[in-house]
Amino acid sequence: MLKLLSSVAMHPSVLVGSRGISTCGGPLLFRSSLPMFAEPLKKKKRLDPQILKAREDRKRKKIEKSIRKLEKVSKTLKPIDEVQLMASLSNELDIRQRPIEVHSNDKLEERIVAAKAWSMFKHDEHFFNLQVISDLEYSQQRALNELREVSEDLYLAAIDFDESLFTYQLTGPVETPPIENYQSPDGEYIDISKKWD
Amino acid sequence: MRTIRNIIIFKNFYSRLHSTKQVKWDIMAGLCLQRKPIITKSLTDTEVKFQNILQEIEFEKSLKSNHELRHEKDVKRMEKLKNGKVFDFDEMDQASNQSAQDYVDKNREELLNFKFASRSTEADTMNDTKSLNRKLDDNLVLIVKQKLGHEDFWVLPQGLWNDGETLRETSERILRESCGNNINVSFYGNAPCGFYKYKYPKQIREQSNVEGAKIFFFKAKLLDGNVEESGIWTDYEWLTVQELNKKLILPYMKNVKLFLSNYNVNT
Repeated sequence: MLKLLSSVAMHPSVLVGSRGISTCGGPLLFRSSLPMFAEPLKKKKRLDPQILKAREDRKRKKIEKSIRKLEKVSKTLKPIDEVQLMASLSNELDIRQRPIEVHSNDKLEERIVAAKAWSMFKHDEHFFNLQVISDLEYSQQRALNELREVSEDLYLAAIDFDESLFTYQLTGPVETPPIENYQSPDGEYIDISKKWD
Repeated sequence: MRTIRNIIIFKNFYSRLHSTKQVKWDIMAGLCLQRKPIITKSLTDTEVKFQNILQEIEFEKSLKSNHELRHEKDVKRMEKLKNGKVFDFDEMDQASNQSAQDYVDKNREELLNFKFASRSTEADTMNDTKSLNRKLDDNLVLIVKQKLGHEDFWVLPQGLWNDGETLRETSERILRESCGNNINVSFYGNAPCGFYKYKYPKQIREQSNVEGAKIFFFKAKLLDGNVEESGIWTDYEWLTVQELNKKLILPYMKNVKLFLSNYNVNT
């Protein structure tokens, strides 16, 4: 600091910090006062403890209120749009009603016959599936029994887990086969799913 | 009811099975490689009929949709216009008012312009049994013509088990040997799914002192790739289970059929 100030022409008594009572000892009798490097201290304000307490209380109440609000939100469940009836729909119920169709007896009979044929069809299908499952079970169990007689080690290796099969993914059959080299047209992906925090 | 009895008989049967232990048998692994169906099976008459009826009933029970309401409104407006009752210019603004029928027509046109791939392919009409594009709605099983003894037989690819391998490893080796390296499959676990044993001709039996072969079949699903030429077979084909019936010899087919689940009751 002093070095910095040394560029300023000043009375030597300032720089040396002489202890002389008179500051006008220089040849030019130039008067200067000792520099002060600090500010006078501010007077500390003393607050009323009741006001302080009230202030703290207010703060706590605010936080408590927000916590209560969050808890209330967490209790409300995510609405299921598919299950809830839209209000506008229930208002329009009468204009959306279809005229009731009355079918002839022949038509009704045809439906009943078709339903019976269908249940027969499903019955056969079910028993066929049972047969297939039992065939597969039988075939595999027989192979394992035979393998056990051949070698216990091979049997143990055969009944071991194949972990590569887990998280099994299956892409099922589709209505029409995929078109070769098909370039799908460009489109925009708009995510309309709602966010629930 | 016959089916239920069959199931019970089979279950009792496999627990009583035994094989002779005194003689030596060759152990083999067989590979049942399947191409799974790519498209759905076409519906039977019963299914189509019932599907239509269900759709009818569903329609009768349903409420009118927004689109139908819009269409009705359009029809009413057109009638009013015809009678000259409406002079509201807002409603007559044609450019902004696409009618519900127009919307349906536009969508129908778009649908008609889109060409779906055909459900039956070229390989179907040519009956190309080497192609994987045949019979898209059915399971195809790989069979090869292998020389067993002095004769050629159509069989599932098979090979001898080497000491130190598990049978799963043997079947993976057979896959490489018979189909090459450009094929990608996934095996259905470590356990064999089927078993078949046959005796060698008497001459060989006396020569090598081996009674016959026990084959353990492993199932695998084709992911991509196709069969490449290889030395261990003279011919190969991808066949449906119905077609296998004609190619494979009877006792062999009987055992193979047990673990091929996709043959149909009605055929």
